[in-house]
Amino acid sequence: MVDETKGSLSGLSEDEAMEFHGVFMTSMMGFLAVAAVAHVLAWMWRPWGVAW
Amino acid sequence: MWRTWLLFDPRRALVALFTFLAVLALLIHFILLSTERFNWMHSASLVDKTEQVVAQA
Repeated sequence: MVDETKGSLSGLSEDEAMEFHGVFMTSMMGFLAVAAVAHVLAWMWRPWGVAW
Repeated sequence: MWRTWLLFDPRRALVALFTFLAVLALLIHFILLSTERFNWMHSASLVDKTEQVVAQA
């Protein structure tokens, strides 16, 4: 049984790695967008780090 | 960047990442809850204080 993924440590082929990376980056951007909105709302509620 | 996934197995990386983010989120929320300014749950004690201040004035 030829192990075609013997090249990579994770066992993924290059195509699979690129595909996963695309979905991973999109998800991360979504997460960061939600976090940014939450921080803006929190700042409007009570700013931090500045002399309020 | 995508070569990361040739090194790290995505499944284990995701589990580790989610665990880390969950613990960090819990930590931060509880830290904020322990403060006076950012505690969003103790509006009751805040009201008592304002009443005391008003009473004294």
